[in-house]
Amino acid sequence: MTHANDVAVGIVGLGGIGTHHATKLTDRGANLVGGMDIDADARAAFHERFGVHAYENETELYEVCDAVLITTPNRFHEEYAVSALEAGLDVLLEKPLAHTVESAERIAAAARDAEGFCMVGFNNRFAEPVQVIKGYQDEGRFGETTHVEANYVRRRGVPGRGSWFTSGDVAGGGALIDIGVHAIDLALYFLGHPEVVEVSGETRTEFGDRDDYAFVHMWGDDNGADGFDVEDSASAFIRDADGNTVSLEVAWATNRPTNDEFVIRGTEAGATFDRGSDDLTIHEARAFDDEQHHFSDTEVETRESDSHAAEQAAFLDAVAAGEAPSINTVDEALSVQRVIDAIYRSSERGEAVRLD
Amino acid sequence: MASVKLEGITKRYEDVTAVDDMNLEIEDGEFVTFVGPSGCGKSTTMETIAGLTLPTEGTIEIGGRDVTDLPPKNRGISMVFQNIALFPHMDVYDNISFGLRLRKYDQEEVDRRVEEAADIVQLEGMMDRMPKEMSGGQRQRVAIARAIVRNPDAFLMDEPLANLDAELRVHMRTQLQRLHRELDTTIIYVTHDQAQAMTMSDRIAVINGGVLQQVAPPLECYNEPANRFVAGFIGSPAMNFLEGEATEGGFDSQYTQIDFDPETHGVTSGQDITAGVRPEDVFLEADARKATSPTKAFDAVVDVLEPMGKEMNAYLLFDRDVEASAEGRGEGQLLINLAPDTDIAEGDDIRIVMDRENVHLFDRASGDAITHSLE
Repeated sequence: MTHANDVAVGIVGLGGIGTHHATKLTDRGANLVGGMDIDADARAAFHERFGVHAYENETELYEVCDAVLITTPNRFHEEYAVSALEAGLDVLLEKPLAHTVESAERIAAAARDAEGFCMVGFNNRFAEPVQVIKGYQDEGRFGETTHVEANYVRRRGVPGRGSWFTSGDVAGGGALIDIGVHAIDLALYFLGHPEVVEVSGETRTEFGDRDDYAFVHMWGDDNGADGFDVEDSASAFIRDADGNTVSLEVAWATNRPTNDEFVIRGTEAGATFDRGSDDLTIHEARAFDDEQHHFSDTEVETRESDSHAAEQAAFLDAVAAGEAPSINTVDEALSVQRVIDAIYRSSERGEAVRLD
Repeated sequence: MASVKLEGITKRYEDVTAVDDMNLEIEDGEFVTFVGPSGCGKSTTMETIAGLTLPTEGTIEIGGRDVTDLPPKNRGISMVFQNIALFPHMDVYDNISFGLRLRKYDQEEVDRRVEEAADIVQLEGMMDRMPKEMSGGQRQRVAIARAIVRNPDAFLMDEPLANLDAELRVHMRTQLQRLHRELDTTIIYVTHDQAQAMTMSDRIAVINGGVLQQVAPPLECYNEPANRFVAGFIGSPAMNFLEGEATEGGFDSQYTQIDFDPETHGVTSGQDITAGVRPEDVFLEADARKATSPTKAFDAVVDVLEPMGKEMNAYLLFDRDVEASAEGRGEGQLLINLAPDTDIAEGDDIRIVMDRENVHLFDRASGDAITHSLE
């Protein structure tokens, strides 16, 4: 196989994100060969829209694929990821790795043994400004990166109440596992995905479970407070083995303005990246021969990017090359999942949790 | 089957050294247990062998092949962990055979190996069961069978029995010993439980603070501990320690005096010394003949008695003014084993002797053993 668009790719889970991925795949001219879903309506809609077969059974799909994207609700990641790996396929698994840390461990163990690889869908890493920050980090412009302020805060943005996103049983959690997973991964990515040794956190359920939940926009349909049994915000402090830290703020709903800012703080320079707008500013303090002490804030303009498309490109390139990608590895996703689990445990116990 | 060799393995995090210059050769077919308190570096050492953690320095060889930079799946090892990571949506057969199916073994070979492994861990007739329908012990046996079918050069087991209840743990301990005998394979086992280490291993590697303290057969660690740490860690109940100093005529502490010739044992007068004596090497004066070479008798007071059934633990104070520590093992306190029918009561004044043949001496500054007998 020589070209990424020759890779026969299928999608397991034909809901919102599955359809989004299918659209991106067809946009780039990828060889989308089929989909799979247990829901007949989802299969019919997929077939109608993309003109390829939608299977009821994943093994039939796997027979015609080189690689699959798995975009099911979190609870079903393990079953489909493991069977795809067993079938010898390469896998792009949507985030989070799993609904629980135990399930995540099992997927990672299976991937370690498998012929194919399992890449995990942390698409934010592929945003152009993120790669620019990474480039400057590699060049040494930031010195040592010692702290990251990671914010993924919606003022009101609970995904459809009553959907699987707000069911602890299916999703494994709420805002933290849904969007906090991106913020944690990005923060750890900026720190070089170190070993996390301590986590202290608190999760809250303050809005989604209320009958008078007030909002101006919702991703899906609102079925009221009854189907909501997860947290809608979380705060945490994360420490790695080298003493570097992350302060994390995550919310589907909270009484403050929306905040998508990541602040990367290094010993030589810092940066503020807005995940929502892609704005990037680099902060430095300099002098010339101990004169003209000054602050310099450099605004960085990057090309427009589509992080899901870039993620798919990295995945398909790796499949075509027959080599596991070095980015978005299953082991990185596992360490993110361990942090999430530790935040839940820390919140439950009311104290910091050690991971070493 | 393969030997495993660790050469200069060090794992460092910023200012913490989790494993410090570990050198160890494990022979083909040997059962070696890494034992030590929580956080001592035993699991980190195991992870470097498994390939789950890269060492900061040093090399690892398995079967004479340098595997330091190889991923876990190419090291020829099988792992069993405390968390029994069975796939919940697969039955026993599928769980055991998963690794073989990943490697595209033909069906006949898969069936043969699964059957053989199921036979070894006694899971016959349970192939259709789902994990949630099984007990903790059965699930752990499935995890072990899953490791067996891969026919590894070495098994790595990290606290595999920790989540089982006490009775099952003892039962599985026996099963693992039988497994080792039947497979005749190299097993590296990690536990904080010195009872597991003592009962199953060919050799124990005692680790503390990231540093290997002693590697020796269990009874050698018990009878000839290399230092005070090993002496205190191996054996339950633990050894008694008496702090004192060497004199011209032997050992002096606040409550005891033991005669011996310092020169014979390479001790100099005035040297700070810790004497160690195990609970079974202390006797009531009336039973002094049970000691091969009794010391002179010391006064003591019975503080607490613990009848254990086949024996009785007696916590003693050397004098009524000694303030008993919560663990009953502080300075001026002594734990001894007595026959269960010994006529003795809490509060009694008694006289005891130690068996000089089994009194250990340690240099207090270094902790190193000086001698394991005063005879």
